[in-house]
Amino acid sequence: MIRKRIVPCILVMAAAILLSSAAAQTEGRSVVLGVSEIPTSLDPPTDWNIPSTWVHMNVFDCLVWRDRATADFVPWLASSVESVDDTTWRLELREDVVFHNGEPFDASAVVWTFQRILDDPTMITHPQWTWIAEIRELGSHVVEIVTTGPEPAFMSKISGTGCGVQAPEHGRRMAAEGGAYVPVGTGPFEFVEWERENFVRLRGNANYFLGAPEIGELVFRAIPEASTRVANLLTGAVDLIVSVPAQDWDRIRANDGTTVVEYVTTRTMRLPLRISATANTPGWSGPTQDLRVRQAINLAIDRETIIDVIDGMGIPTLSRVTPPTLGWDEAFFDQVGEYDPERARALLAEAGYAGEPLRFTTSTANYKQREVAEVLAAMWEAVGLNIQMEILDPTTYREQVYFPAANEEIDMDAWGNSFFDPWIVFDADREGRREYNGWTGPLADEADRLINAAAAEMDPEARRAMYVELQELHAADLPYLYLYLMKGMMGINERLQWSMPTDEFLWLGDATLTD
Amino acid sequence: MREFLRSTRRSMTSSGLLGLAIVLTVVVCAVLAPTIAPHDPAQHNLRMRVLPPMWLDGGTAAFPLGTDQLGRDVLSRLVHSARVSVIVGTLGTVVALGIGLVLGTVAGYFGGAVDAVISRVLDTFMAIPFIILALAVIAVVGPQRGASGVVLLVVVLGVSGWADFARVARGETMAARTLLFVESARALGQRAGVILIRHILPNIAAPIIVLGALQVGTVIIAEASLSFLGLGIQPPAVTWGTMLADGRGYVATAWWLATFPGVAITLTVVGSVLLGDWLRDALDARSR
Amino acid sequence: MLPYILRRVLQMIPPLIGLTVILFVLLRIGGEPVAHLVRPEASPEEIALVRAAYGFDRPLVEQYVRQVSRIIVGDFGTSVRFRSPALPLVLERLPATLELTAAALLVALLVALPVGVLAAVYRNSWFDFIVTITTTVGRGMPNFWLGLMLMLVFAVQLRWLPASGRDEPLAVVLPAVTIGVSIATVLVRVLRTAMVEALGHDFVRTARAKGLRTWTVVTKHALRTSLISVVTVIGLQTAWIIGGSVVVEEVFAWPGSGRLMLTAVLARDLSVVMAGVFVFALFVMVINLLVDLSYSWLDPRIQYA
Repeated sequence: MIRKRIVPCILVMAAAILLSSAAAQTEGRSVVLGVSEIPTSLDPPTDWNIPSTWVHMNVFDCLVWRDRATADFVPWLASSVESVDDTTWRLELREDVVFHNGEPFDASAVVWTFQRILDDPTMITHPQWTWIAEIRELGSHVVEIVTTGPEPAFMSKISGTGCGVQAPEHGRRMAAEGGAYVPVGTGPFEFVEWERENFVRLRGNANYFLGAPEIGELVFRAIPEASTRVANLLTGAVDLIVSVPAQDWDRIRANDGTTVVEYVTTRTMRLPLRISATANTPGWSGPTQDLRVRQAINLAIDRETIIDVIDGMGIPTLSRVTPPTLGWDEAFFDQVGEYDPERARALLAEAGYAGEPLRFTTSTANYKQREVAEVLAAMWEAVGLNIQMEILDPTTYREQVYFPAANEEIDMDAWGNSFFDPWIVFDADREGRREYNGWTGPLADEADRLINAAAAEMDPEARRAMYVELQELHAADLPYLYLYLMKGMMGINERLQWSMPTDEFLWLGDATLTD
Repeated sequence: MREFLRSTRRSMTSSGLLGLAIVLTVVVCAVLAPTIAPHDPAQHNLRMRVLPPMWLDGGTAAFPLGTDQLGRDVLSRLVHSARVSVIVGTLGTVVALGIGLVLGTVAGYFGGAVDAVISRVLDTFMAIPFIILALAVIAVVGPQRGASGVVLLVVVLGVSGWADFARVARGETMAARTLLFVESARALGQRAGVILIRHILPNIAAPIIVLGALQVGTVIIAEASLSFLGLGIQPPAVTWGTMLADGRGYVATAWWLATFPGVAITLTVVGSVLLGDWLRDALDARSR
Repeated sequence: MLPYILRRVLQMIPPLIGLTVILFVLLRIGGEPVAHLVRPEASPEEIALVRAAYGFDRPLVEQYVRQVSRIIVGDFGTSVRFRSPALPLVLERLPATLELTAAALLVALLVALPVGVLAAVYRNSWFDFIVTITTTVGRGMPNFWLGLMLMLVFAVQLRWLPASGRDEPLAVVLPAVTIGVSIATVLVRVLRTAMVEALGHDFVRTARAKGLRTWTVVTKHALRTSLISVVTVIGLQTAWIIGGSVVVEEVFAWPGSGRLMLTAVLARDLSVVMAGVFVFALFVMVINLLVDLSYSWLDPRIQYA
């Protein structure tokens, strides 16, 4: 008899536990982000993928960062940044900040963080920091940074990938003990749990120096497939997803409580055209050596149709310097350029083009990139070009085309500029680094002069003018063609009040919730 | 009715015929694709994007099975895709059959150390999942486009799929070796190669052919899986697997894009399976 | 029994060695996995530095010998993607794959046992006919396509089940059914054939003649002997099931070792691929050993010396 009663008792208890745990979860104000991938490492200087930095930025803060609304560089963990002379910078640090594990944030933490990157060349971001000649403590909350030369892009570079300041005691202990890396920073969220290729779970930092975030628990969930991300947003399993395909916009809008929001990314679709052979294309010679063929390739592109192919998810551009980056110019940005297939044909005839094959390499990495490639190939074939298209998966593309710079006549790839400074746009275009197009000639020499001068020019207005001039050189000699600055569409549950910043970082320290 | 079903099952001819009909249809599509297909499979038309099949609202008879995300005709793409499936399915099987037959008969005939070595290699390959091995090979070489892409897939699927053939060939050869006329041929001092080709091969052909017919289906599915993962045939070439991968993002909004290629794969594989089953029954009946 | 098990375990060693050779040769001739180690703007000098740091500049034979000597102590090297030891990476994802495989097997048996038995008992009926057609179609259906269709109906349209992931207990249902159905189509055919044969056996006829109830005969006698072929087929299909689960894990974003393998192969993450294929191959071999051993339990007439 007693036994018979025990069973229902146990059932009731089990139900009570289940219910209470469910209630506890809603009280935690959890927000789940559906992203295409999550980090392969939680140690910021060792993983530069954009989706990885999204997680890093929520756990770590940088000395200088971009204002979330205006994208201007502002002191963040630093309270002031002062240029002592052309190569010396003095940063005062905030004194009200502690790490998630209770360690105090001070000058020694800053020095340890950056010295660690400078000392270890195997870290991916190491080359991004070699402009630092020396970093030293001037006081408990003052650091001085000496650069290898005049550094006009200091504010941009100091907030580059891997800039998150780490807890030094914790870091030294982990380096000594080995094993899995556990991130400890000062950011709005602290690390709880990570299941590789599945999710990263963070919890709100009640002691955050800008105020505790409203979100109690923040989960980044890896959902590689776009349609699956959409399904999860519709069912309420996730609160925010990125890169929503056009065919799903209406479903998300029609669904109760969800909507889509457009944003502009930092990535531009660009096409290097090969002008001469470089290290990994020995003996190359092809029709694109001739400026008239490059012009024909450019004139055959109907950018309006291309924007249509990507469902309007791009702003047509003739340059990779896009707002708000210094040097962006109306002559190049938001321009479809000239579309004239007749003149393209005439130029090809004038150049004596006789159907030589043009190898066109690209990958499927970005939104509808494959479709864009197929339509481009059709446009070029329409003016009489013989296109041999190779559309590769992203990894194969990177290994076989991108890294060895083995691209031939035409190549297409999206390049980002999360530094918000033009130096990186032209850095790979200076002498000795032109492996993607082998750009030579008087205009290329002029470009070299401008790149070197701009890199050390401390006057912003003079620097801006140099970068505009560089864009004009590109437009004249066509070492690259540009198609569009990519836009993105995020799907969001309306309980989450948050807007995408210009740098595309999913930093949710300032997000609010309506429920 | 009951009687009819029983007789059908016993003879298996009707399902065998159905299999033959399906396989022939696919082969005809593959061979005559440019003639049969109403449109150029690569011709895009941005004003005609994602049209539904003709029997649904908004569909048109010009595109009987609708259009894809670039306004290309789904039916024409299906028909052209049959080429890759037929070529990869057949040649992939032939390569696997070739490797498996040679290694299997050699192991079974000579026995001893040769058999021991080949059998260990066989064990190794049997334990590695087919698709993982194929993935590994492709990851090494990198996906290829055009004709070299087809060659790569044929080699990959052949190298990954030979183990079954070798296992069967080895077993059958060991059994055939003890047959009286084989033993007498050896006693007469005939060369091993001659004995293998003249006496053993005809005796083990039947199970190998049946296995081959069934393997065609497996290879077609494997090709579709690899293309679906983006590692098989590369665009602009079109296959059922890449069509499925493209249509995957549209399952909720344009179901036909992912449905028709799936149906095409299923029908083709069912056809080859039915044909294989029928061959087995027919060959079994003869050997008894 | 024990000597037999020992012998079988020892027999696994040569194929495992063969495996290391195959994989090493395969993955090393293709190129170097530096793509994930350096940033896009990296210069050739930076790439050379990273190559040296990871030992990619040593002779191939030296790299292989070093790798194998480490494998013996369970060290498959460091994942270039995750920058942590490879074997624990695979092992930490294995439970998810085992869970999915077990659930799929459960689905397959729940479907195949009753359907196969009924098809055999009522052979040549309408039911049998429909079963035959369904299993034939099932054999031709790519399982990732079935998965997409199930996701469309049950997750997107009806919203009964989660579309992907492994966060909720119910999330296992759709991938498990996807894999389970494709196993079941094979099992049903095998079970039906075996049952038909067993029902014609003398001892079954005898049991029937003794007046035992039909269902007792079917379940106790015929089914038990037929299970041998079912178990054999499950053993033979293990490698195939694991292979198929890679694609299904990808479709449903199931965080198992299959998806880890796929991303590792794509990223040329040699250490993880080596560890993964090793674990899978070992798994397949162990299952086959268990299948062999289960024969004696299912059919006491079989003895092992």
